[in-house]
Amino acid sequence: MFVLIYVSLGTHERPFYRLVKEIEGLIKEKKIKEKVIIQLGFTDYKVKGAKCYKYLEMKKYEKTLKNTSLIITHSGSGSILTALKLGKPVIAVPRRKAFGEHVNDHQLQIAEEMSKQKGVIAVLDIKNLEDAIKRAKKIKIKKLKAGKPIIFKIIERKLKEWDTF
Amino acid sequence: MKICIVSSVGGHLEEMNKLLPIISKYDYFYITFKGIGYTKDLRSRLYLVTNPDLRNPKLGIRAFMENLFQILKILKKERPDVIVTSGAGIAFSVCYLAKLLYRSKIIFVETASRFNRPSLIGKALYPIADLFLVQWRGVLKYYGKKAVYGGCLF
Repeated sequence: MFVLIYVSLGTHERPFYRLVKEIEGLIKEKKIKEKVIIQLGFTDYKVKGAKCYKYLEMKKYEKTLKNTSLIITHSGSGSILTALKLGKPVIAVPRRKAFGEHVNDHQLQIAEEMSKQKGVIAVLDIKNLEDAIKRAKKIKIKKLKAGKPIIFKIIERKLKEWDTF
Repeated sequence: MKICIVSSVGGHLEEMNKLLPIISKYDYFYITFKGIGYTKDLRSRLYLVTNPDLRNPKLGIRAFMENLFQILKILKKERPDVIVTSGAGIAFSVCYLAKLLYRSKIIFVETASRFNRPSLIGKALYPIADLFLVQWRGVLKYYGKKAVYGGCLF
């Protein structure tokens, strides 16, 4: 049973109308009945039937993520990994260069790669979003446990080393 | 010791912000573009420069020159000891100029969105990087001995 759907368009400077228009359509046709919160970023579009924000402050963002049942996001690594770490199913919709949504198609690669992970559904044709939401309702996922990577220690040590010079 | 975080907006900036607990122990400042998601969360000096949009050479020339002068001015004022970046194109001028003029150390982190293909900026900065990290093992083979696997920032 989904209660809240959080939609994230990221902070990339190009708009992503294709995703928000599809969501607006699904809300209008009552195919989405849950409460919807959308982080618009640079997408200048008010979605009827959803609560829209340009950007969510850290506290509000964390609270929203905690309470959300499903995350629908543009296909940025950070957005997807954040969802997995919280144990939320995530639908990744890659921004496409052809639609002017990004500079290249690296998001397509991210979606393809990350959809190998349980809990991630990639939507390449926006018409498949409705079906993806249905599938997401059936997924049972656990929180992705990632140990603290060594990158932090490596950088910390290097900075200390240079600081003493 | 002074650290300069240079980044384009979006995912790159989010990645840099993950390093703040470590970087904020030192004096640091940002060079980035006008965007969102930073004004209230960033706690240090923030320089907003023109987006050179290196992929678009036609309108790029003027923006590129503007960007170059802005960066020279900032670097002259701040003289950072270390530059930390994951890209994108904005990091090119900053890193090469800082290295040439002020012998700054360069820390490059290949972005989390690169699983098995290297980034353009990674290839461009590899020669001058003093510390070169990748977040996924799949890209290691595209870089030389300097490249170290560090795991994911997220």
